[in-house]
Amino acid sequence: MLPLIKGRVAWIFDEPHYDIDNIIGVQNIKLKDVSDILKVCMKSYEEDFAEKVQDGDVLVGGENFGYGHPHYGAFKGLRAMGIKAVFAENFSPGFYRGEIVNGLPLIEVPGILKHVGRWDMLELDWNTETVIINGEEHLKCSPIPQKTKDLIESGGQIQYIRDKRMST
Amino acid sequence: MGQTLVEKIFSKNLGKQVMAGDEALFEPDLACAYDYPGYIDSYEKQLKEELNIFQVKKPEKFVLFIDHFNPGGTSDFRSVHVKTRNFAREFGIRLYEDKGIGHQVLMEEGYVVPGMFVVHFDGHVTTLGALGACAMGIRSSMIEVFATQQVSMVVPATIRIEFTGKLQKGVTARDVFHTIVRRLGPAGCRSLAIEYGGEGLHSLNMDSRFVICNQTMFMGGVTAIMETDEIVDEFLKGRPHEHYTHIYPDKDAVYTNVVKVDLDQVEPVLVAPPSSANTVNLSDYEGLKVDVGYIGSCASGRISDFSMALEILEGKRIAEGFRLEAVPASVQIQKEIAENGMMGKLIDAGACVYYPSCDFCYGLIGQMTPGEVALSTGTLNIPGRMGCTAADIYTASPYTIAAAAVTGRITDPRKFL
Repeated sequence: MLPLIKGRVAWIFDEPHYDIDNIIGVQNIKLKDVSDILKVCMKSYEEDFAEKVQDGDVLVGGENFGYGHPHYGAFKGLRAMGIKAVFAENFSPGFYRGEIVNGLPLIEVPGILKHVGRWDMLELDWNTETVIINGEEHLKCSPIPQKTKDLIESGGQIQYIRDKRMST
Repeated sequence: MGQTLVEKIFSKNLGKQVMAGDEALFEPDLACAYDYPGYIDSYEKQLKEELNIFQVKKPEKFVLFIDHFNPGGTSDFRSVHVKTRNFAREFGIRLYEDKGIGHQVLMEEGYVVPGMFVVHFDGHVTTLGALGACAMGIRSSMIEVFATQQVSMVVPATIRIEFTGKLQKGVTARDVFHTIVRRLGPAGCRSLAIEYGGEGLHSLNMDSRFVICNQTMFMGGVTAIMETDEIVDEFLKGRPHEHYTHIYPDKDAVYTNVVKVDLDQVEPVLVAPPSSANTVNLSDYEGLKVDVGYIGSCASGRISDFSMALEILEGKRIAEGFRLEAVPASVQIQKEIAENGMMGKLIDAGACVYYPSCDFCYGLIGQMTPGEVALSTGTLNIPGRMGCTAADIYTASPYTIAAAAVTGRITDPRKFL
C-alpha cells in the first residue's frame, strides 16, 4: 500500500534550478554520518529549522529542483528530521532518479509555488494524483510513473527488487 | 509513426516498438561503474547481504573501472580499489585499471558502437552518445542491473538540435554547448533525450562531439545521441568492436522541439560560478586575473584539446605564478602526446603534464586556495569542485585556458590565433 503523505510545508525552495547540495553546504557534501549531517542541515537557511520541523512534514520546490551534481547527504539529513516528501514544479532527472530509489516521494505539481505558503497542510491523493492544500484546494500532479509508485510502496530499491523483480 | 534515435534503440532493445512515455524493463548492452566510496562497495554489500545475490547473470555485459583515487587518495580511499578488484574477480567482471578515465577507455577499447544502450551510475557517460549510443547515468538504479540484468525506464521524449555552418577559428564545442544552455535554459531539455544532427555536425571532429555529449546533464538531458557518419567510422576503425550499422531517425519522428544552431554564429563563452547554468560572454570577463588552468577530465583531455592549447602555447611560456595542469583522459592519449611531441611542447611552455585520472576534476589533486580563480575544462564549476569552496571556477575552452595561461588573465583566444 502506498504511504499516507500528509504534512505541513516545512520549507519552500522557490528558486529555479535549485542545487540541493546547498541544504548542507557544498563544503559538507562528503559527510556520511547522519549526526554530522544534522549539525549543518538547513542551518544556513534557518538556525532552528530542526526544532520547528516535525515528522511527516514535506518540502516544496520550484522548477528543475535538484539541478547540478546532487549528493545524497542533504536528503539523508532531511529524512532524519522527518521530511516525508517533496512537491515541486518539476525535478531535475538525475536528482529524481537518485532519491526515488531511496523511497522518497518526489511529486511534480505544476503551479504549486503559486498556491502554497509555508506551514500549509498538503495531502497527496495517490488515486487521483492530486495534491490537496489545507483540505480545500486541489492541484493536479504530473503523471506519477508506475516505477515511482512501486519504489515508494516498497520503501526503497532493495525491497522493490525483492517484491517486484526477483519474485517472478 | 516515425521514431527518434532513442525510440529506435529502446525498441530494438525490447524487441517491440516503444515510443516516448512508454515504461518497460530494458536490458542494457553494457553496464559500467567505477570505484567510489558508496557505489561498487555498497552494491556488493547490498547484493550479497540484502538480496542474497553472489553472481550476475551476464558478467560479459559489465565493465568496471578504477579511475578515481588514482593516483591520488589516502590509504582509506585506496582500500576501495581493493574492494573493487575483489568484487570484479568474484563476479567475473572485466576491470580496467591504470588505463585512464572509464568513459574514454570504454570507447578506446571498442565497447561502444552505434545503437547500443549503455548505463553507468555517472551521468557523464552520455559522452558515448557521440558514437551513436544511448548512454544514461542511472545513479543507484545500477543495483537493479546488477541484480536483474535489467533496468526499469520510461522512454524519454526527444528534442532535436540541428547544426548548420562551421565554427569560427578559436571557437569550440564547449562554446557551442554552453551557448545552447544559454538559449534553451538549464532546464531546456529536462528529462529529454537530446538528438543532434544536421550538416553542421559533420564539421565537428570526434573530440568536439564528446564534449557536447558529456555536458548533457547541465541542460537537463537524460541522454544525448548524435547521428553517426564517416568520422565515427574512422574513430572505430581498428578497434575490436562489434558489427554495427549507422542509424538515423525517421523523417516523421516526433520531437518536443527542433532547434537550429548556426555554428558560424557561436562566440567564445565562459561558464561563470556558481553553476553550469551560468553561461556568460567571454568578452564581459576579459582582464579578470586567473591563477590556475586545468585541461583534462572526461569532457576534455583529448588530443584535440591539447592541440588547441598548443596552437597558442607553443614557443611561449605561461605567465609567472600561473599553474597549468594538463591531464590526458587516458593512458592511450598520454602515450600519443608523449610520442607525437605534444607533451614536450606543453612542458616547455611551463605546463605540468599529469597521469590520466578523474582526481583533478573533483578536487582530490590540484586543490585551489581561497580567492583563487581557475579556468577549467572540467565537467562543472560548482564551488568546492576543485577542493576549495572559496575559490572561483570558470569552465572554458582549451583555447581560452591557453590564452589565459600566457597573459595571466581572461583573454579572447582569437587574439593569438
